[in-house]
Amino acid sequence: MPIAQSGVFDLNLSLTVFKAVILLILVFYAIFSLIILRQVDLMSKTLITHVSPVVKAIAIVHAGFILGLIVLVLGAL
Amino acid sequence: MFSAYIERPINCRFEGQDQDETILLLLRAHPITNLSWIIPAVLLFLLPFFLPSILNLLDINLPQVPSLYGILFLIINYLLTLTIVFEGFLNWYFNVYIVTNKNIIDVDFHSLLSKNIDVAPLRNIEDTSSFMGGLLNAIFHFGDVFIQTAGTSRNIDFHSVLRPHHVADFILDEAHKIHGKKG
Repeated sequence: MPIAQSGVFDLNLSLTVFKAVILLILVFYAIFSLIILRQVDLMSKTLITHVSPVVKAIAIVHAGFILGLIVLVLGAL
Repeated sequence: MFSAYIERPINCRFEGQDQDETILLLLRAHPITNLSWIIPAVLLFLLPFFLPSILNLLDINLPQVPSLYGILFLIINYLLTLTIVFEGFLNWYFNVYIVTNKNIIDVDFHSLLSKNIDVAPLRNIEDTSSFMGGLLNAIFHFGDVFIQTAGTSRNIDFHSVLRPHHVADFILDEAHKIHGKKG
């Protein structure tokens, strides 16, 4: 007699929950990266050095990477 | 560029700087204070290398998950590491203490989107004192400088700056110059 696979610890269910958790983390992280972008903007206006544009560029690339990663995760998982 | 003690820095300006105002001293916290975020960042960076061994040691068997999820775990882990490093650097680099020929400026970014700038004219400086206590402070020669200002204006404190006694003396000398006295 075959045993039906069921229960909370079903692998498919676990992976779905895992996917939702990862997406949630990434969405919060994206919001955080946008806050960092704003913070860098504030800081660069307060202290103007030749490092400021580099830091700003890193923050923009960072935020863009996260947004790209969310799209990638939505498609891949 | 990334120094904690710069006399007469070039290519550096601050918000609200007057045309005839020049920066005499630009100070940051001593680089050794960055260990508070460097150590967690290194540990987080190394975590994926040791995680399988730790799980084996604790006799925990994870169910067979697709490798894609493992890669995502790695990406999220290294994004967190990057954030700790970036935030730590930003807080260190942009929290500065500036002494100009007119004012003393304390720029503080306490947390995300929280900005505090204290400005005290040099003519209002009444007294300065410095404090250096603790093992790391003694080894790396850094400490706090307390600047007392006249009237009801807020006192300014420089935290964990390099050569605190020299900085306190320098500020007092500049204040004396403003008052037309010899320091």
